[in-house]
Amino acid sequence: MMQNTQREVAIRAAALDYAEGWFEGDAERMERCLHPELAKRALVVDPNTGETTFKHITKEGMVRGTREGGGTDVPRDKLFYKIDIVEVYQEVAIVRCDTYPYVDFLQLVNDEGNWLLVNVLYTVKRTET
Amino acid sequence: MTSQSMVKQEIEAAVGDYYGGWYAFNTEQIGRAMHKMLAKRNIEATEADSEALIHTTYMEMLGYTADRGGDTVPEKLRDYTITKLDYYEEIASVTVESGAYIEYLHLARHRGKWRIVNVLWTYNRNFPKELRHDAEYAA
Repeated sequence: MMQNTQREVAIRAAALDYAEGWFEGDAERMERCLHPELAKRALVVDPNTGETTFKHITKEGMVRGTREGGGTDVPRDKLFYKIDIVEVYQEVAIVRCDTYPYVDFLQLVNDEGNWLLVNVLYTVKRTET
Repeated sequence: MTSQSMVKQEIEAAVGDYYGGWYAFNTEQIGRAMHKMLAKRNIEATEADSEALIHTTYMEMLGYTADRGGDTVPEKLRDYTITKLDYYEEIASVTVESGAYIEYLHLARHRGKWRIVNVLWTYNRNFPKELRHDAEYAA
């Protein structure tokens, strides 16, 4: 039981490094939670044209974007972090991360004791919550 | 039928095409379930005490399907169950368990069609090691 709790603490910490790292503009936190082969994706719809773009972001892109400010422009009083660990199976963890502007579905792997985000699918919320 | 039920049915249909296409060696069926930018990953044993993240693309999946990749799984282990399904607006996260695989899927909906964008999969711990792709090195 203690082992499972420690495992969940570590998974939650990785998810918070990702989410809080972005909104705090903390590139170091972002760097340490992402797998080198991160595939972060979204289907983004242009509200003016209705055209859909497939967006793919790498670890390098995420760390650079965070360093350049990330989500620091979001009003601090609107920030919240809801991390749900959906499932853990062997070396894989599935997490849902809800923040003010986004819902992120995360897939993590345990790489030599470190939980790292390897696949992400996210969306920008259409309605404020 | 509620819109929530309809969405779940649509997502389940995409999963059905993915598995159905794989085991029927039907590239058209599996192809319509997957996004062309599919990122399918798994951790595979490469040699003693070593592992690597293996990446499979959409085109590679079509190739493996056409090459009857599903033949490596005995028929009695091919049934699958969707054990978790969560969605928010145009994205979904699904867990699929079968005798051979535990697969975690991310799907996105575009023009009304749900397609698999990301996969992270592992072998079911009960799947015979000698049938695994990395049987030579698997612990």
